[in-house]
Amino acid sequence: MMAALVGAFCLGVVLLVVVVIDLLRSHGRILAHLHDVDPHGSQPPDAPDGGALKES
Amino acid sequence: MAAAFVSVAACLLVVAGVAKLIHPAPASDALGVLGLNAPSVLVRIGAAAEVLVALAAFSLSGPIPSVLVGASYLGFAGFVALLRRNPDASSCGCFGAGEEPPSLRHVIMNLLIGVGCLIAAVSSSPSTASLLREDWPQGLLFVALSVIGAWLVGLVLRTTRWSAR
Repeated sequence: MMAALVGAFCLGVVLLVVVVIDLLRSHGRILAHLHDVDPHGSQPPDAPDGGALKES
Repeated sequence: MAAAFVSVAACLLVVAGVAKLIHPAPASDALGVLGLNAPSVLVRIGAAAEVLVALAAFSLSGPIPSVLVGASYLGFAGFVALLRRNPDASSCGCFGAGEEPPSLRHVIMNLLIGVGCLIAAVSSSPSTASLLREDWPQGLLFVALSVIGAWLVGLVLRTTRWSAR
């Protein structure tokens, strides 16, 4: 019984670590994308319109 | 220790089987991409078999249920590996309506679970029902850990989509 419980617990921990690493990776990707975008509304330089400022 | 693999795999098999019973179309489409013409009725029969295998793994001791669950996952791994080679495949159809793109992670996950179940069969691991009969509070804890494990496997497969964005 204890072996089964320990096995289930270890499996859960390993899976949780994988999920957390994935979340951190995708979070880092989102942050990197936000960092590229100018808060005043301009697009990143590789945007289709060449990163022109938007008229409000 | 390998009993956890069988229990987690069986939980996931029930979820996938029920999802395909409700929404067989994505699995039918995925089989169609590989040139296997499978109508919805056939997918539903396969899904019902999945659920039965999972219930057998929960309730029956002995190596046969574990081997059946392991063989199912090794078969899924092969199926997803074949789907990955086809650019037309947008979803593996494993979880019914929920679109899961066929990824390398999907293949590896299925292989690991399949091998874990075969190890459980060789080491004659106890079934979930026998663990519950032996000591029900600890058995319930084992069931809860298995359900959480199955949920985490689902998350691992879903995070492929987030990472791909």
